[in-house]
Amino acid sequence: MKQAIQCISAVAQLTFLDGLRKQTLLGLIVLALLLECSGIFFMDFFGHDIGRASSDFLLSVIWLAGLVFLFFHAVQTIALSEERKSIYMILSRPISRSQYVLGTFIGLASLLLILQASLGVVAWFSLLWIKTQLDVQYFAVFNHGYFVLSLFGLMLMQCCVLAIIMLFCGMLRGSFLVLMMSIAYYFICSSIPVVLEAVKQQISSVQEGDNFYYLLQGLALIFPDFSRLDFKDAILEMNPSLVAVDTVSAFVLSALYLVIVLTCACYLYSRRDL
Amino acid sequence: MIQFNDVDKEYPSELGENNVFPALSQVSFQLEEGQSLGMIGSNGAGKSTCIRLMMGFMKHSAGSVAVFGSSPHSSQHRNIGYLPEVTAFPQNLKCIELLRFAAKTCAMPKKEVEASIEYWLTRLGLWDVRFRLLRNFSKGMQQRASFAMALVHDPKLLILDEPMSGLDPVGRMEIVALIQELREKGKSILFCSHVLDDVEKLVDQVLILHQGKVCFQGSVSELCQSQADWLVVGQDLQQHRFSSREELSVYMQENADNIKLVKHHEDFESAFLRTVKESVAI
Repeated sequence: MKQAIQCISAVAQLTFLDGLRKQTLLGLIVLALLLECSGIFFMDFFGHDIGRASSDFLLSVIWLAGLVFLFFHAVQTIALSEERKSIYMILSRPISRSQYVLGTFIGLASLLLILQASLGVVAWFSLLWIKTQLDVQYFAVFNHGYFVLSLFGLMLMQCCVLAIIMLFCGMLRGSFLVLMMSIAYYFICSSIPVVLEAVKQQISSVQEGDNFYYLLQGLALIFPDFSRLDFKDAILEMNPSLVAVDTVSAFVLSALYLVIVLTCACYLYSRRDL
Repeated sequence: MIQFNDVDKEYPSELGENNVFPALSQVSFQLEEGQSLGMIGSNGAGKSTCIRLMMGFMKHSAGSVAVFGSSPHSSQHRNIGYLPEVTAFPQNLKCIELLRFAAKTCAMPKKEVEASIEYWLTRLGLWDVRFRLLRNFSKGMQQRASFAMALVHDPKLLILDEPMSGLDPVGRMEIVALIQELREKGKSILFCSHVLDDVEKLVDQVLILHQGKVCFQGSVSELCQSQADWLVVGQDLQQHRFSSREELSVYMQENADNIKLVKHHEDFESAFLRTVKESVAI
């Protein structure tokens, strides 16, 4: 067990150092900071609800930076390591395929955490500054706890996408194919809750017990509803309507989904020829 | 140490094609402890496929592969030093970080790690550049770093795929000397190379592969002796060659007291080429 943890941490450290020095992170942080600063300067263009608009904008920048990191750096790191045969260098050590998957995931998630944390700190200070510049009527409340909760929610969402990228890398050969599938996955996850709601409202014949309804519910299990981890609205509300049980269950279910996807990725990697 | 018994390996066909590609067919050989085996063959012969099967990177289609007496498994890599044909590292690591990673994964005691890293980096001429990023290394330096990574944990079995690739003549000499030293220490070595001179010097046994089949396994001398010519050496110590039996017969009658027959062994390269040609003819 100790040796397994040592191997996983060695791979994680390798992935982390390689990513940090690739300056991908630095470039993303600089880009995101520029976008966040632009949000501060252009807040005057918002006619009303400046607090909500600013908060949404800043958290969206963090979300976008995370997605760019996942789709370009993470996909490259995992898929290209196989194309370039650098995976042989790692697996020529006494490291199992599962340990490689877990170590790579942890290394990339650590880089994502640094990205989120640094942008989150800047976003927090930006919101505080914006709040001081405005009258109370435009920006009454700033819930710091829910802001941190929103960042956790974003992080967990992106870790789920990272796990899916690892799964696709285990199934497919070629970084471009993995990239396309990952982007498609993300768009389907974003769209299914909307489709489900629209179907419920517009087609009166769809009821519980209908096969089509079950199909949509089944798809919703495979393509999770990321909006359940979106707590942006609660940051600026006086009395947020979040229910503790719903919030905790959203985190627990997402963590469970993450574990299941990673387990499948480990299984696929252990079965395939390199 | 390594045992292949009637191993087949087929690669799945590409999209739109029906046939599988047979990379290996009924390949059998073994490498005993303390032995060195040179695996040679033309491009596409199946050498790298054999190595990937030994390392557990892929599974065989038929037959059996055993390394240290059991099926290939990642836990065996603690005792294997593998030098791949293509050196590919995460390019943003420092050389010393790569070796620390290699040592950490093999659960080497901490006291031994730094001593071993220092020894191998110094031996391979990389000590002064240990803090440089691998992306700034030349091809030869990357090859040496890969070699250091294969040796840092003192493995029992070395699998070297084209170890001289990218090295200058001085570097090649040093690596040849290093491999000879490792042989003398009792390491088992599986050595793939296109440079037949190096194979001839460094191995006890030779395995010739062609189009996924074994053409020959045995010692270098057995390979070269298997088709030896007889030469007539005259009093002037010159070797004479004759275009016909009649010419030979006349010469021997005229110089009966002053000639001797010498068994002429093929050189290694000729023997290898002849063996491959014969296997194609079959």
